[in-house]
Amino acid sequence: MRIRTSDDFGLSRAGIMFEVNNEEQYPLLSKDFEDAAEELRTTGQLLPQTRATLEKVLPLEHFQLSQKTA
Amino acid sequence: MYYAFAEDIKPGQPQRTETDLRFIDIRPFRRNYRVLDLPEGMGQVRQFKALEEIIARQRSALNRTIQLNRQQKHTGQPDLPATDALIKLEGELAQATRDFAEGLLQRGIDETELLFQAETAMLAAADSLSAGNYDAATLQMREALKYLIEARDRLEIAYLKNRNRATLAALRQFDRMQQQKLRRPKSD
Repeated sequence: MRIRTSDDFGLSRAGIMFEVNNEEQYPLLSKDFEDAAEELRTTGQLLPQTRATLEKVLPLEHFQLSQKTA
Repeated sequence: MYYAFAEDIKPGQPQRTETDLRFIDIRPFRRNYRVLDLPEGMGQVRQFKALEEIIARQRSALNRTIQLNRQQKHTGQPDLPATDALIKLEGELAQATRDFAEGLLQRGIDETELLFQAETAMLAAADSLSAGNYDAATLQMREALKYLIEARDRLEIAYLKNRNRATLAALRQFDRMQQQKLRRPKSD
């Protein structure tokens, strides 16, 4: 799965959440841009990241899925 | 089911945005080896297209409910016209599900209990929307989806096992008829 995200001012977090069978949600991918954002706030020297493309494979075979899985 | 999210760097209160929910259908991987040419419809997996359409519309309604919930939390005001439209849609979906289940029963397919459970969940969701309870409506629509998906798989197996040519033909015709009913006029 791949996502592309952008924000005029800068990103702090982005990711992909998934769930199986109406149960708990898990992050497949969660990228934290907060370090860069913090550095920007304290030093004012780093350009915030305004665009990102994130990608990760969701290994469905790790879950006991069946045709009835919602 | 999955979705993506992103948050910006607004100091104090980062703004968060989320995509609509996306769905993954788990379908069996089949290899059919056949020596004989069976008559059309026999020995093949049949997808009930009317039911596929109901599932697609229920997924769309679920996404719309989540959007309205988010919007209400953000603005403090419910979007009443959109909510009314969604209540109407959910009611129509419940009716279509009931019609589909009853039609199957009349044609000798009794694997319909899950469809009636889906209908009940849909009606409950419509009631929750009427009361402005989007969180409850979201959960009820998810339940409805779960029932619909399980029903779809059981119906496919029931169809596969059925050897009565007349019944299979009647089912195909019924499915086409239900699909026509669900199809909206172009003016919509």
